[in-house]
Amino acid sequence: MADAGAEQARGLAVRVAVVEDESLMRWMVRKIVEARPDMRMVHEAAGFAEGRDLVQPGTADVVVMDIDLGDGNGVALATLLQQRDPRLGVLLFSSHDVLDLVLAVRDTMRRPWSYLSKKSSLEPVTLARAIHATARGEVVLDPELVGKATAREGSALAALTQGQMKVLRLVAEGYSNAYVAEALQLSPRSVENHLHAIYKALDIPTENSNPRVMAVLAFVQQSSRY
Amino acid sequence: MADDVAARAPGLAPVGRMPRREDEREAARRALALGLVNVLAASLAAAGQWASWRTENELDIHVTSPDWWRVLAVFAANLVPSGLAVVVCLRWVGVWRYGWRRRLAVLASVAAASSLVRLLLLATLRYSPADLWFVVVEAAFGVLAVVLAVSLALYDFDVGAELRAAEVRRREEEARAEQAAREAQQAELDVRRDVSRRLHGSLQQRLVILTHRLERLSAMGASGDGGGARDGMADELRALADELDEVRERDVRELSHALIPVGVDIGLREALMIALGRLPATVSTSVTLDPVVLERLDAPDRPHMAVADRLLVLDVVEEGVTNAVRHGSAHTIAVHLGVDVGADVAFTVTLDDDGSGLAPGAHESGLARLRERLAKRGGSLTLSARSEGGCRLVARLPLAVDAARDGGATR
Repeated sequence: MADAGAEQARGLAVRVAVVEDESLMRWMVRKIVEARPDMRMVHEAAGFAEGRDLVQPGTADVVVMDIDLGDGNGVALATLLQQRDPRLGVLLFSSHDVLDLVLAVRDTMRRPWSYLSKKSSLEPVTLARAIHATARGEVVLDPELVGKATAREGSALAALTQGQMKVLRLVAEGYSNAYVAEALQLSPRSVENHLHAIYKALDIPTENSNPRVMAVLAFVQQSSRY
Repeated sequence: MADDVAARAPGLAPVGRMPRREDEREAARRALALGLVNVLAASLAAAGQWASWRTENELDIHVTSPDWWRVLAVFAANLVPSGLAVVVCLRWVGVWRYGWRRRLAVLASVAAASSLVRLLLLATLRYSPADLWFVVVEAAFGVLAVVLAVSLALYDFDVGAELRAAEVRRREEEARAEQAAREAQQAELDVRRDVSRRLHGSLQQRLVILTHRLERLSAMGASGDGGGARDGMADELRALADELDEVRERDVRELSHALIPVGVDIGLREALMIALGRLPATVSTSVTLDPVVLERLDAPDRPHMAVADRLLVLDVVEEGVTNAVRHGSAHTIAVHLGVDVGADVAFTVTLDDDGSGLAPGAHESGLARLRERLAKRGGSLTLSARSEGGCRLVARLPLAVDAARDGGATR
């Protein structure tokens, strides 16, 4: 949050790259990004090879990556790009529900990935929020899937109170504490308290560099949408 | 060697069996011929030697004249007992069937007996001087002729047996590959049929109904009167959009999953996470990996595993999980991916569940097909009860050597 504030204070828009093989989809993402002053489109690639050549280290903050590329797969490309540039945020989007991919990359990549379904990413507000939060290093999950998710029986997540669960869902969608407080009609202080209780319940050490991310990943791991 | 071959025979696939018997009979005939030729040569040599000795005999002993019939008789006295001995060993007893110890025992007694008979025959022909050493040497010659003849034949048989075994293995391998190819074709056909059936069935059906509803809506719009109709149209449009979305979510996604499960093209772990994520909320799962697997074996940017192998492992996990939940009422399933360095280097998938344990028959039916598929890749599948309750399913899949070596370097 502080990072984004500082960035905007310096007048720096988030630099976005998109890799998507369907031109209509690519065009729609560009329209959404270009319509906002706090983001700017720097690369548009139609496939694996083009993405690999275009998205050079240091030239983009977030890459919006389709998974099924004609000449390869987006997960492999995003892995490659992030290995070259560890500061690059990755926002996967796909027409399949492959939310669990964010768990698969957790062990190998230092910076976790976000995930939106293609349907949600066509909503300007959602895409913009996801791009910003991903640029800050957070994990953003598809709001529709977050809405459908229920805690797995016997998991630590199932032991959260309803209030805590509401807070965690909004955090997983990439909202800031201030927004969560407003949406749930709580004081910012109370949101903080909820978050600490959540970290404790999910056994996440608060000295961890990013407990917020850990909590979202635990949410994916310990919930089901089916 | 002969023992090994004989012991392996009952386990051979039916395809390899028939020609193998035929081969063995052929080899036994060959050994017999070889043995007989050997004793024939030895007998000829003995008779020839005797004849020449007779003519050159300069000792002053009483000897009979070297009549041609007597030479022939000496030849026969050499050939008949030795030849019989060879026939007994290689034909009646079939010593090639046994191990070396038993072969030697049979051979020694038969050779000794034939040598004795030979000596007696020769004595009646007054073939030799009655010197003790001469008798011993003659006896030894008789034994040796038979032992050498039979041993050479056995050696030939054993060498042939190795070649035959290799040939049988090759033939079995070929038959197995052919069978696998046939089954793969069949499996592909099944999937095609299934997808086609679903395309023509439910999906087509739903699209037809949706089209019909849209046409009706369009007709309503054309006749368009008042605000009430417009409200109804908005609701109907909303419902149609929802229905279309459900068609996309359910029918289309299921169809594409039937063709190739999502994530299989990306990596094994990715596909696994997606598959496990699809389990209902009553089940919780965990996935652990040996570092070797994580670092070397299969990563999106370094795929080492063939897509077909990933698919196989994924099918094992999906089947195992389904079984654990459906038949064992399991709530927790732990999946572990590892590398096992045993007789060969193999990739292993272990599923531990906390269900009700082995229900006879219930698990096996679905796993049999997987076991077959794994066997065709040289792997195996075992299902066992855990001492702490529940089941353990272990699948083993041998790795190509280069992938294994890469993995070994990081250990």
